[in-house]
Amino acid sequence: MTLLELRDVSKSYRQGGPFSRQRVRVLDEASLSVGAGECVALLGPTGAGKSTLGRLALGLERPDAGEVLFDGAPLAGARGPMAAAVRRGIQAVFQDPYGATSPRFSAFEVVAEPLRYAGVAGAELRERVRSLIAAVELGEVDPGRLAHRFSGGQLQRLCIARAMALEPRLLVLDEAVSALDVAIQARMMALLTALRRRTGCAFLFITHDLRLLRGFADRVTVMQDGRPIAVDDPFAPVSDVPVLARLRAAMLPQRPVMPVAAD
Amino acid sequence: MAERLSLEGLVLASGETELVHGIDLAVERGEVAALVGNSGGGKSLSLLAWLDLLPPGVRRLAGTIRLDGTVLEGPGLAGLRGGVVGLVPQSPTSCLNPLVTIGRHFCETLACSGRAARAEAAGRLAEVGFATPERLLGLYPCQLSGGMLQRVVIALALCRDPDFLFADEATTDLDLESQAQVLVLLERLRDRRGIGILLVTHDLAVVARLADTASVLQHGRIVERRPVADLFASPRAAATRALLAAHHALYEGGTAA
Ligand SMILES: Nc1ncnc2c1ncn2[C@@H]1O[C@H](COP(=O)(O)OP(=O)(O)OP(=O)(O)O)[C@@H](O)[C@H]1O
Ligand SMILES: [Mg+2]
Repeated sequence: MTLLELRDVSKSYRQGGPFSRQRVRVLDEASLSVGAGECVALLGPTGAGKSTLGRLALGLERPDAGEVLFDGAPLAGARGPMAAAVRRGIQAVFQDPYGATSPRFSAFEVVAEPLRYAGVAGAELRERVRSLIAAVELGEVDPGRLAHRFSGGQLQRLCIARAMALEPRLLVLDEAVSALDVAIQARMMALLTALRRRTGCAFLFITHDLRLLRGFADRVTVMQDGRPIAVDDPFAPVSDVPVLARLRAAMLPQRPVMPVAAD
Repeated sequence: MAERLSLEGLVLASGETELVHGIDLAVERGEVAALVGNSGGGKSLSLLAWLDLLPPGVRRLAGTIRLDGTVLEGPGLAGLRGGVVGLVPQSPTSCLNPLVTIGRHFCETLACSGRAARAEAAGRLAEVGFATPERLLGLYPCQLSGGMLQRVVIALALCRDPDFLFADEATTDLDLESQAQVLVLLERLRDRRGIGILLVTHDLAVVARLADTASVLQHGRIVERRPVADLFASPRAAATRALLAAHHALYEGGTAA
């Protein structure tokens, strides 16, 4: 069953300042679908439009043309904003956790926010926030501390906890684990996969890091010329998708390359 | 040009809690020193403390900063950032003003304006891999993607020709191609201009690619400091071994957690 569907969406932005007429087309009749419970990866270089596509999927922006369907119905009604139930069913974790959280909120408040909206309060709220914070391995920290006084990786994990709080049906992960140290990164990806298995939540996994796809994504698409293109095996030695071939060529070595002794 | 910048016996605390327990770090001219470690281990705070830029809530209880043998305090310490050390902080958006164009950011950092500033800024942006840097000058930060912002911040950090560069996760938001470009740039700065680079990164492939030495910071303590080749060949501390296991799993599959 298709949960999210983008049909021929186009989006362009003004460049060169607010009064400029020059526009850049970021998405060009892009189509992508994510099935219920599926993890679809969207890979691509910086500035290729991955995050724009993510924002359209979240209903944060509207396409210039084309449509975004959630459960077969337009994400935002032509007249009004998104229905509350739909809104709650879609959550996101972004690249920059400082930009995604209020500097006035404590760690507790960051995670509690969506739960409060859903009407959870009192002892139940405290218990659910506590267990979510523990799930992202921050059980030791003081939840009363201001969120912006946590390290980048800790704050990112609070954002992951917040996104998981309401057991969404779709989670847009936009470079959500890229900034975590490799050990915690692996554990957060395992945590997310467990959430997906348990609740049937679908992921749109946006990343530039090819290495993260292995064992995590069911299906991989690569952003090329403003459109996601399906790739069967991103690790195949050769690729006929030029963007993927370039990303692969730029992959760093696993180990230090020993300097060859000069003769 | 300075030869060595060091930080000795750094102790940081927040309220009653000690966060960093007396660590030593140093960068030398012409070398890339990596700082790796677990999330929340104290990497960013150590870097900020070194430049006297600690955020509210954290105090430096001890620690000596030395530039070529001279102990820096007060104004000397305050003057470190900019001409001596260029800083690329962890969150690129935090150091750019959303209401000011990229061009203005350069004017303010270079303390000049007009055609000369524009040409200088364009040159610096070209250095970090922008093909048409002039087009960027009129844009606002929100009009750029995360990876583009990251490169702009690097260009800004370098524009006063510092002797040292402190980069906190400077390539994290970059795709592999732009990352490779930035690493080539850093390598060139080290090899040709002899800049000393302190690189905080969670990506051990970046360490493997560029760093000469690496320090592993775990829960506010340096648990291992070695030349990079040795660290990969025979990691000693448990924390180092855990990081390397997770790193190798990214290439070979299997689970690391
Ligand atoms: N302003 C602050 N007030 C109090 N504690 C803080 C503050 N900023 C950070 N900390 C705490 O200090 C410790 C070290 O934080 P730091 O930001 O240096 O970690 P880090 O190694 O850079 O981690 P990451 O890889 O996640 O960025 C963490 O436990 C963090 O919660
Ligand atoms: Mg940090």
